[in-house]
Amino acid sequence: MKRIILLLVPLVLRACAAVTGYPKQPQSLPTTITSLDNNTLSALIAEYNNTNTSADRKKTIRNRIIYSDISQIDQKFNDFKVRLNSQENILSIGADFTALTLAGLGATVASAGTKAALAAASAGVIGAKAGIDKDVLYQKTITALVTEMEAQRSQVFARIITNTNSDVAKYPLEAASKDLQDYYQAGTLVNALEGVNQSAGEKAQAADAKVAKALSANYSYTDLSKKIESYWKPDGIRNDENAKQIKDCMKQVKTRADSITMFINSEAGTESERSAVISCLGLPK
Amino acid sequence: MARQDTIPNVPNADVPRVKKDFEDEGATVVVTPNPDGTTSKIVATFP
Repeated sequence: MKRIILLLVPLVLRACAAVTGYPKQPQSLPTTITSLDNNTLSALIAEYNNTNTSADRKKTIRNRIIYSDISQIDQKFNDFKVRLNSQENILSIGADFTALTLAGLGATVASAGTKAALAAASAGVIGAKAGIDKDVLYQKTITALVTEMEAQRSQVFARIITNTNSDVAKYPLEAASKDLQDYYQAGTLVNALEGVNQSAGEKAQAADAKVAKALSANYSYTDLSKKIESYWKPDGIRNDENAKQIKDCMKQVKTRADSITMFINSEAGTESERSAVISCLGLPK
Repeated sequence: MARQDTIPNVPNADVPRVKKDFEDEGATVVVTPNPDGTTSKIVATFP
């Protein structure tokens, strides 16, 4: 049995490692088309820094360097994505599954009776299911983070490509270098996590703002409402000075309603609040 | 920043007064009669 188990482990791991979800890339794509080797890069930078080099030539050099760096960063990012989606995850599933299978088999072998052996095997299968669930969760998290990384990379990419139309006085190689660093950083897990957190925070703030701007309350118009309304509109005509005093008192009482109309005509103004506002205004109750 | 106040069930007899109150405070008012035939919904939007 031990010999069978030892044979089983590499088979399981090898089978899992083969599942990457990505086809093999052709050798010529994408880095070899636009990437510059170190010698060419050094020569181009020297030419760029030469004061005799024309602005148009500098622009061409700058853009060649930009496309070379973009190409290399893209290739590294693609490799990174493949590793995230295959190696750790699949091996993790494979390792969990294998460990649990071995544990189950070990328990089976060690047990004396058939009943105990079946129970141990069953525990192994249940444990394996839990391991797969955990890895599916990991997979979904990775997918979300990769989506965030790609979104942020697209934003920086658009900025860089737009800037390639500018002349070197407006967009020098140094500025391009900074943008390329941002492009690289946009493809990191740390940056993706920051982006997800920021996005969640902004959504929460937007939701709070919407709640703060809309108020709905059932109709409520009482004798206390009439007293406040009489002060606001003596003889049926609006008095702006009195309106200001009512609003000041509403602020002191910290009423839910912002408008006087809502305060005196709906449950957004409670009777105790209306009574407090009347006291604040110095009106007889 | 716009703000919106809604009173969903104002008795129809009181609708003109409440509408005028909102308008006196500078709101744009929309009155929608409810299916019960006796009340209306008043939505006031403040600029």
